[in-house]
Amino acid sequence: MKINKDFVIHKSEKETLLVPVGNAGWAGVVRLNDTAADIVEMLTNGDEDFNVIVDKLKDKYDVAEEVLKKDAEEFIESLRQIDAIID
Amino acid sequence: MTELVVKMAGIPVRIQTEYPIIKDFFKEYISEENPLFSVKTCFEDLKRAEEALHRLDEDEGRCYREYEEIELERNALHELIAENMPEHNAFLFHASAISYKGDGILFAAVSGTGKSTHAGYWIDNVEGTSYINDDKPFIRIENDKAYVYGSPWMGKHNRGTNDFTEIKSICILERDERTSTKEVNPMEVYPLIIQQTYRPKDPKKLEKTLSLVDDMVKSTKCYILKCEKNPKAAIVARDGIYENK
Repeated sequence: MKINKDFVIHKSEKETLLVPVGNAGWAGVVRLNDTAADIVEMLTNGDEDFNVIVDKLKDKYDVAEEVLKKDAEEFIESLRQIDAIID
Repeated sequence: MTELVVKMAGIPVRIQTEYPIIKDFFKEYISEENPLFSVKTCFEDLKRAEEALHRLDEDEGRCYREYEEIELERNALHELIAENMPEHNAFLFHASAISYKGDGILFAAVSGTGKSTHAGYWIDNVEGTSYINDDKPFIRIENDKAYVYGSPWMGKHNRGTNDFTEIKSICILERDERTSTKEVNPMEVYPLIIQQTYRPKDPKKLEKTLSLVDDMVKSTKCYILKCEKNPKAAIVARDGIYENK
């Protein structure tokens, strides 16, 4: 899975946002916290498998695997709902 | 085919159109300069303009109606010009823009909050105020400053003028029973500002637009303006923004 090319990641001073282009179906803006930004970056850089994403998050964050998996699953599902992810 | 050059946000644009009457619409913006880009609508552009108008009618509770081709042409040209502006350091922004003694003030909010109403209170009650554009002004970044420009697309009340000025304040409006202003870090209102910005269909142009928005918020002050539906709200807002200045 990877990020739909019709979504742009924008880093400003203290915010990272995921913003769809004008003719994407959804017209909102997604505010990304650090973990979400890492997931989006991984999905932008390559076609990532979910377990690879969780492993990379485990390396970076001192958080239990079950918590990381649940958070990552929920976040990825929310991106699917706005067509921000292509399989 | 009719050709004309118009100047939008200081940028000369060639328009090629099958509707000669369009010249009347652009009469205050005609230019003799060499254009930096050209636009010409096609069937798909008109279709998209029609769909957007019908969506807006639905959102604002208006009955379905057929639009004349000239109305679709005007709207389609607006979108084509907006699509190309980022390459020239400009973008389209949904706000009511006024000039107060030479200071550009943008009133931005979710649709229906009362941007036009509040801007009207300034025009009627605050000396030294005039409209730049009551609906979708162009914003241009030049030498680290943000300028707001009028255009012939002035919204349903048709308020605006071919003028421009440097933006000093962006006010995010919220309805309230009492008027108050609070200066905020632009990051607090950044997502809303992005939502009021025209987003090109091309990802690269969108990236450029977002960096121009960053330039705009860096060079202006942002306020949350809670405002009541009362003409005196403009005086209170003016005093709040210009307190101690």
